[in-house]
Amino acid sequence: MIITARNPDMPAIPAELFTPETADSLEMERISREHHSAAYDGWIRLRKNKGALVCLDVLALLTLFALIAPIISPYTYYQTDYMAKLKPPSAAHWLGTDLFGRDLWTRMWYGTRISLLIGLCAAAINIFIGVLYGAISALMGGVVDAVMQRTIEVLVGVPSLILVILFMMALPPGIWTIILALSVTGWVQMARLVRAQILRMKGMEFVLAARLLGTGTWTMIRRHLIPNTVGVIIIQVMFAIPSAIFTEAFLSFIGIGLAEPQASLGVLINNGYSVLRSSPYMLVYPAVTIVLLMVCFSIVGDGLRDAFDPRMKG
Amino acid sequence: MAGALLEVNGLSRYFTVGKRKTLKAVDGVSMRIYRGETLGLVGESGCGKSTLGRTVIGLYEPTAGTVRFDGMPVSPKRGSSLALRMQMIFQDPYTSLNPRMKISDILAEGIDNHRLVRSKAERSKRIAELLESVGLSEEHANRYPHEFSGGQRQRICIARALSVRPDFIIADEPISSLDVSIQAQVINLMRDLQDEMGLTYLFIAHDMSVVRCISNRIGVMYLGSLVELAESEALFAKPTHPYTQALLSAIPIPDPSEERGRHRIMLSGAVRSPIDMPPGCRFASRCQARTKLCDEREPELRELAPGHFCACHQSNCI
Amino acid sequence: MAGIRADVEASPGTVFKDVINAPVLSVKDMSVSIKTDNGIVRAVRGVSFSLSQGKTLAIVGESGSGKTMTCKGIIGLLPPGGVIDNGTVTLCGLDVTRAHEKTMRQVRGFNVSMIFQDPLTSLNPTTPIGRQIEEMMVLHRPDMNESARKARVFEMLDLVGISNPAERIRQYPHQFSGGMRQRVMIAIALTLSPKLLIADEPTTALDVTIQAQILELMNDIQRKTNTAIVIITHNLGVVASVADHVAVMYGGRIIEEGGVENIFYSRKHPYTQGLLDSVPKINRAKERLFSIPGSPPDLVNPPEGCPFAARCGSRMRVCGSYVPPIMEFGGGHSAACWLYDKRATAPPSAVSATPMLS
Repeated sequence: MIITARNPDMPAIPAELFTPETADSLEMERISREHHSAAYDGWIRLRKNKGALVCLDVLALLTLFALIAPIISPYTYYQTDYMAKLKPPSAAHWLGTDLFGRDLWTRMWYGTRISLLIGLCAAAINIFIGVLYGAISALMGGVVDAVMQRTIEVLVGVPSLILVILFMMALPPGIWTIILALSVTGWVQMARLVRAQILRMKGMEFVLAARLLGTGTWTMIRRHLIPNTVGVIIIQVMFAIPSAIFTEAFLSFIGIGLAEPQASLGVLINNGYSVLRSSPYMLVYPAVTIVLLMVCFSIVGDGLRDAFDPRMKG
Repeated sequence: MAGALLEVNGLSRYFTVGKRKTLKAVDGVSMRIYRGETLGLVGESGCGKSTLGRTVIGLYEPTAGTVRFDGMPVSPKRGSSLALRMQMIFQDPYTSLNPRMKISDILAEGIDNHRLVRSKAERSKRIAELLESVGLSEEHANRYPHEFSGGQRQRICIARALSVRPDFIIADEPISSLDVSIQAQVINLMRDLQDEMGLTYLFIAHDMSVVRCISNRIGVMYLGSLVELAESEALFAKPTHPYTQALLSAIPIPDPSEERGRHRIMLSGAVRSPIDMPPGCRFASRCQARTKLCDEREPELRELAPGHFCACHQSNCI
Repeated sequence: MAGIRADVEASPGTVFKDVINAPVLSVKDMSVSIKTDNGIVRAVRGVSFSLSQGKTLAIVGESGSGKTMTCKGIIGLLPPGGVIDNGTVTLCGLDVTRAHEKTMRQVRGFNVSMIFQDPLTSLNPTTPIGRQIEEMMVLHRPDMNESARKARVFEMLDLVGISNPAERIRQYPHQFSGGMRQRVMIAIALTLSPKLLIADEPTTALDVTIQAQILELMNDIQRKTNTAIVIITHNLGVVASVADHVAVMYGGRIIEEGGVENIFYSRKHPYTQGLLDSVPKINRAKERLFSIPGSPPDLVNPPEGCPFAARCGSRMRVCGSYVPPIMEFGGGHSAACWLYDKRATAPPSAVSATPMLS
């Protein structure tokens, strides 16, 4: 038998290496990649998305200011000073003052805080109702599902703005009324998404296997369905928060939202709009903030979707 | 053979598609699976073999017919101890494991549901045992499914099925999405576990040669019904139904000289749609031995030789 | 060892012929890497082979062995993040690694075409299949008029065995069965008479009885048109029924290459051995299969030496750290394995001693 090596000029290899070696059975099953959870993998992917990271930082900064600035400021958001009306920015009032001489810097961050609070609370209620409704609808199926879906369709049929405005008029004005009003219809989208995702999940083989192992309905929801729906939920939340903030701003702007001296970004924009000609900066600050909030939430939401979209295949 | 562990009688499962159209995925299948044996079920895609498996185990409610396991009727309501004795392994190891759960929790799912262990220590001991029984090690318990290869995942699925100590396992194409060298691992593992634990298998696959190396008896399905059922030796020695004959002759053999000298039965004609099927033999549209009778009456599964059943008008005693 | 000697004696003729006929495809030391979220996958690591007209090369390997990426590299259709790092691919005298995308588009029509595993996703669902076959000519052959194109469509449908073409050309892909769709794909791929046809798992999605028909068709077409075919598959039965040459890939490398008889009857590499032994045989009763333990290597961190070393039963200490050289056994048969080195103490005969069939 003639055997020739195609590339005979190999590096010198010690002859003792040419002796048999037993293969290690555990070595064969070794996983060479580093061990990390799916969440950590997602975090790594998110870290690579520079835009989302910048936006995440901006959001963190805005939140931080909203929490701290009103506390350390020497003024309160409702403290009027008729001697210093409509002052432009100065050392005493960093962003100037409004029509009643209230410090705009303090009001701006206080307003941001209220807007964020409304956005977060409305989103939280939306998640709660939406996930529950969607999950029940998908899991029960049959008649229950049909009735619940028709109900949603009726709700979608009524223009949500009208519903919200009706609510605002019927109840005493205040933050909680707004949050309640925003939650009346806000959960519908979430419910639909969750239902679709769970329906898809129900046919998947790991759920069938769990059924065969006798997993009960609640355990099934908690252990299998919710964790695999979290991605969809988080992304929906990231779009629901800015949408709630925006609706609140709109309501306050047209004058049926929060009332003075309460501040929210919508109230501030409303105030700024009334003195647009003389002091345009009063409109600019809250407007810029609200735009930043909207844009950053959307970009972070997109980034999260790309990073955490439930990948069934590794 | 001892008594039948599983008895399937006239089992049908129809699906409604569109407006008042019925897809007869499984249509009047009767068979028995004996304790400790492996029944292989082969057929092409869409012949209803997976639906049959899922209906037998109670994931689908049967349209007609009964399934009796160990003498007791199987109902689609899960959770009873009877239900735990039947488990299933699925085709796609990628969608069979919850990507958000650790391997240890996946394996312990059935154990936790039924409180089969008393302490945490016992639980992790059982998990280690299960992992070991499928050739993996304890250190894999804390990892997530996406870190494993397809073959490893399928072995985890097997370990999960074994966690509740079942008697009967339905394996629905367990190896068709795996690589050749990995397929052999899984088949050997399944056979070792069968010898060790006295398991009974219903092994569903589309690959005749795979089915042959694991099955005692083989059933051939075509468009929702069994067309031939026999001991595997008998089936390969004397395939009787024209479809079985064609199927056997079509399998490519990994041997070039044998492959060159081979005569193939080439089927012509189109496969019938399982939606609103006309009367008569299901295979008639592609059959070379077709007669008038085949178009008029559907052949019944007849016992041609002891243990060798065939549903064809043309085949007589062997 | 008699079989090998016979191969060596027969070889000069075949080798000589290969030299005269310039190969349709010649790949030299090609490497492909793909950037993914988990790191850079070294999908193909220095692969060389060539193929002459009228021959069929089967590339066999498990998923992740780099067989699909090799072919996608050849026709310049690597996925996003994929690049050819190294080596040359000469297709009908043109180095495609350096060719412009515009040239490649021409090359993909005239010199090489590809068919895929799933014919349904490769066909446009909203266009009748006659038009889809014609499209290739509209794009690449402006000299053909409509009647010439129509004639060619009929000719192609006849070639791939689709009867009643006049009616069939007006139908849409969903009106065809899986096997018929794959026939249409082959017709489209061969319309411009390419020199090379690359078929990526062409029968994997099909039923066994249909698979047999498609394989028969491919053999038949090759006899008629003398096209060179590269077929990627994991099914050794398919290899045995269509291939002239076989390249076995593992871990991004070709670990054994040779004529189909070489590979099936006098294989050298322990992996090829294990692969062939682990296939269930239709003519054998219920029995224990040979199985290769372990899993294929992760090509994000490819092993330093032989990719198969970790799973190899005949492993030596050298295997884990040095890449084995390619050993020639004559007649175009070669394997990359240290067992055939002069210094090896383990007898290489252990590998091919077990006959495949009893």
